[in-house]
Amino acid sequence: MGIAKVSSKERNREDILHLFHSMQNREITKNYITTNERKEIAQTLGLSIAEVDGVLSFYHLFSTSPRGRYVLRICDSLSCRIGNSLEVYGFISKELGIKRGETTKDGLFTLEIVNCLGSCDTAPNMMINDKIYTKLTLEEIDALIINCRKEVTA
Amino acid sequence: MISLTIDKTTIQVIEGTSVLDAAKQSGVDIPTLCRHEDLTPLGTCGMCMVDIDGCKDLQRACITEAAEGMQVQTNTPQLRKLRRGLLELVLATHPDDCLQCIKHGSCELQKLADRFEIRTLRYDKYTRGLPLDRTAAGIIRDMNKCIGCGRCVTVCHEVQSVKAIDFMDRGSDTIISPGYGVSMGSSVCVNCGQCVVYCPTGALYEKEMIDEVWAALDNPKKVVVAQVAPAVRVALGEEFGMEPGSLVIGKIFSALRSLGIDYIFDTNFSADLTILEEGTELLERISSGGTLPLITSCSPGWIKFGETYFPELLDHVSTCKSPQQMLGTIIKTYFAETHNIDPENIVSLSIMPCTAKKFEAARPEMQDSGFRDVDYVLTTRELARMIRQAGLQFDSMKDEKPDPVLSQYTGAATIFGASGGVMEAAIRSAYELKTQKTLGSLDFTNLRGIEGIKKASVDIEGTEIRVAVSNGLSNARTLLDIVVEAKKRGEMPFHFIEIMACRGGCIGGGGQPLENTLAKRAQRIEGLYAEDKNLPIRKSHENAEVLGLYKEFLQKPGSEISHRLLHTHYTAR
Amino acid sequence: MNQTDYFLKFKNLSPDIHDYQKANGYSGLKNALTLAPDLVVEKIEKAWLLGRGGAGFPTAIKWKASTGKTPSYIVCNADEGEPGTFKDRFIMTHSPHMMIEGMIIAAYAVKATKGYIYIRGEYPEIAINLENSLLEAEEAGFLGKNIAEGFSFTIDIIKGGGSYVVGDETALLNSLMGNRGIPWSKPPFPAKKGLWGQPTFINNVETLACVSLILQNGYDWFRSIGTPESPGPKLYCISGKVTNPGVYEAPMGTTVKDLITMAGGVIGTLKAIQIGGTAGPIYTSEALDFHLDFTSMNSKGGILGSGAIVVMNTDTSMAEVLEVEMRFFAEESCGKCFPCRYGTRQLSFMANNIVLGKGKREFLELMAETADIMQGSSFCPFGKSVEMPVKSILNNFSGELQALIRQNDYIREVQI
Repeated sequence: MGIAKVSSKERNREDILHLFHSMQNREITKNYITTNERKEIAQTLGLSIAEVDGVLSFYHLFSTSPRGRYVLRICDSLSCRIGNSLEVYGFISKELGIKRGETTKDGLFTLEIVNCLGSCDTAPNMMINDKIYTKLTLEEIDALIINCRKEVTA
Repeated sequence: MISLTIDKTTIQVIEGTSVLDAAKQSGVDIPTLCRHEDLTPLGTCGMCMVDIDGCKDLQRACITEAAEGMQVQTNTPQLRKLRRGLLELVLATHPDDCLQCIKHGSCELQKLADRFEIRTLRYDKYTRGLPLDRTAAGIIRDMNKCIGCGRCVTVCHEVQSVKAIDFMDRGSDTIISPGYGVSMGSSVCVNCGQCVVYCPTGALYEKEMIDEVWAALDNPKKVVVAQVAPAVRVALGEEFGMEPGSLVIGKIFSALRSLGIDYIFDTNFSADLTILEEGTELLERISSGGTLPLITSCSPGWIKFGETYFPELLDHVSTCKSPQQMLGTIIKTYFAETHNIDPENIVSLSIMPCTAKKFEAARPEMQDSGFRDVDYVLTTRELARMIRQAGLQFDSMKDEKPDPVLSQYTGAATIFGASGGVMEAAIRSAYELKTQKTLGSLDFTNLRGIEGIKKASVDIEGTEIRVAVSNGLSNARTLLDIVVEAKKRGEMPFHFIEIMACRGGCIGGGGQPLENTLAKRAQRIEGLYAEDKNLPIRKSHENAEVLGLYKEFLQKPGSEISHRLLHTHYTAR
Repeated sequence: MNQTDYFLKFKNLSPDIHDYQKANGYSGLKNALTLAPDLVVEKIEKAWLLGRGGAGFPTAIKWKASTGKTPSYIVCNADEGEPGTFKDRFIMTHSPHMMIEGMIIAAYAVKATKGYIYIRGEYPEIAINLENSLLEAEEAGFLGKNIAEGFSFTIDIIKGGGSYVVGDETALLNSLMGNRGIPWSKPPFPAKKGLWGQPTFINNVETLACVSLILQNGYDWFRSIGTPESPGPKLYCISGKVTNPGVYEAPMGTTVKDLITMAGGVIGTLKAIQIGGTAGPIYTSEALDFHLDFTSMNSKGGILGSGAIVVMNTDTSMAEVLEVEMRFFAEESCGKCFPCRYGTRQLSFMANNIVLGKGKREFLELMAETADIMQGSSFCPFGKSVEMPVKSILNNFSGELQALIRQNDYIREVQI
């Protein structure tokens, strides 16, 4: 019970989401699913690679190509846009020198725009990997970026 | 029966009929784009929306079941506006190069745009600028022209169970592809071309070899030798306005000669040859306790499917090459020798209903003659184009005969193009060769027809030989799963299995004239069995030219030279 | 002003099972288990609980379709994705057991054998905490084998992959089974043929929480709050230009004006209010007097939806609102049907061009017509609903859009 575990004896297609999550997060900062992993999932579940990729590519949280250690997901739905999401994007984009969908050359950050993160009362919001940061000010964002950089060199 | 009203007409239909089909019965042709009569409807396009009394929203006629007392309107102002609007939306993403497109004149999107007079596009045009995928042996994919109707995915998953392609991404980024970073040529695609058959636009089409063949014909140093498959002779006429199933082989030979082909042979000859080799193989395996069931090997789409999904059954597959490949080898060895032609200068060409034959001809091991056994494969549609380019009036051509030596054939050979035909041909010969007795009836009608899986048993001298036939790879998978499970229990439900990749058999191949519906396939099948019935000789082992080939060259079925030239091996993928 | 705190009181308690039980938690389940399953359904029907996911469908009618066929499933739709909505996050953070208890009661009522919580992938920390909550419930004997005579029930959590459309019932079921999250055609409805062809009952987080409350406090209590057609307490989510955005609990039927007052009032001058999420209409200040319940909102040609209210003031550009919302539709469309796949993209192109100063005069009419095409032929409610934001903006604020379009040429011609 609890978070769906992969059944080992039968090939159950419903395990695919769990497999995507666990492969992508093998290390918490891996953030993508490799070609071999996709093949592994195909074999485990008895699916063709087209079927696996078909499901994988439907969902925006998963990626088949390498992303940064830290995936920054800025919410740009209505309440967050009213709450200055554009300023957040502009600041981060300038600070890191990347645009939506791009990854910094040092492989640290990937910048993504996402839709409603379900915390509209605390706009503007951003997720960094699995954590959500709310009521963001530019100073806070600056500090978060610095922290991420520190974590890496530590 | 239930009764409903379509516009002003009340009709009766059987329960389970869709509103779309009910409308058709009442004389109303509701426009459709994504739907095909042979396939499970997906309901993607929205062209068939209708207004049903009592329903708040419009409904898709293709997936809505007719109900007693239903009142349906098919042609309201709202619906007309809707259909034009949908077409505008689709055309806004579609390339404008109709004049250069292989489907010009037969494209379903084009026909609808014309029917609804889409003269202006109010939306901004955007096209995806995607590169073409030419990596598959028999099929080219141009996803810029894909409208995402989903027919190809339905065919590849449900009818063929190959699952080489699927929908990727979502929204307007949706694209159909073999996978991320996967090219068609490196995927599990078996080149059966059924996706090409059902594609409504020019997004999927055959890889043409017409230019190469013109070049060979124009080259005075080259001797062009052609063979024609059984399934082509009852279908090519459709390209020239004739009925499906019309036997036009005489005209085909005439056309080939007019095109400049130097020697014209018939794949039916090598079909008879295949029966002798494979019949011998079957009898030997039965009598010596060899690997059974024996599985036929003339369908290259099936072979790749087997290598991919049933590698554990590969030693069941007959080592016989397909008739196409056998004849190609014989052409560049026996024929070249006996006619004093340097095989280096022979261009071996085959006319096939099949796109997978292009893959088969290019398989690395298919060079037992010392050269490519078959250089070029032209599909039925490609031959039709060459005939038109040469200005030949096909339907009024006089019947001609092929060249002797490698062209005589029996009724058993010609039915190779139909599902169950190889099996029936094999039984006719295996029975008589084994028992040395004459068969009472040569017609095994329970093996015939478009049914996906057919089973039968034949008594050969007290031994019950159980056979099964499948057409369409999903049906093959079902049958082979039974075999695999039975093997685990040490059981053997069948001695001999015929597998054809395409529904109905080769007459439904990916290279046949479009539209290539199941209904047309059934008509083509009848054409082949009609030819069989009318031929003087109907058993492969009575083919004098084939017997002559053994006498002069191959010695006997299963001989060392036969094995070297006419047999092959397979590789698990 | 009437506010209730059946949900909100849990903000000050810990989410663990002990605090929940001290606050009368799981007494609902105990009550339910003393009744025959049909009687539990009857209580929900008498309470007239309407689904809080957005559709407002009567929960008891959904459950009544149960035939007891096994296996059958209860699915909790925790894929909260409607912009402006964050109430399910609140419930799962502060009172997860309210949802779990409701799920177990539901399973008992419809004779389901297995439960799934489908939670959006963007709530990973909540998913981890939910796992702990499930363990707590199991330890307490509320989950697992033999919860009662002949009643066993376990719950698995499935994390989504980032898609809004999988909040739709059949799209969710497809996603859960490991397919692309595209909807399928109804009928047959999931209660008859859902997961793997078996009966499946899908309920929203807040709906299931209400189930607990009804079995704890009785259906009369539930009906005493709210309106006769839409009874019960409701969690409203108010965000945008108000002083204190957040989750507010009030009886169904509370007016927009009252809700805004609870949230500390509008910042600046009110310009527009969107009710029901991105799939809802955008109103002018006329909406202040609207009652926030299903029937009243339907009668205004709108929806209550998830109960999301986004407040905009005169600093907000409606052209920008259009651009944001059209981009949302284009990115979240599943891509199955032509009208939505192509229509959302063209709408997004046009909305972007208006903001970029490249708008054309024809756009406004063309956008309305495109919305009509999508309403007429989209496969699922997602595409059909685009006409609500589009047409309401075009009807209420077209002047602003037209000004941007007209000015393109003019400024180019007259600039110094």
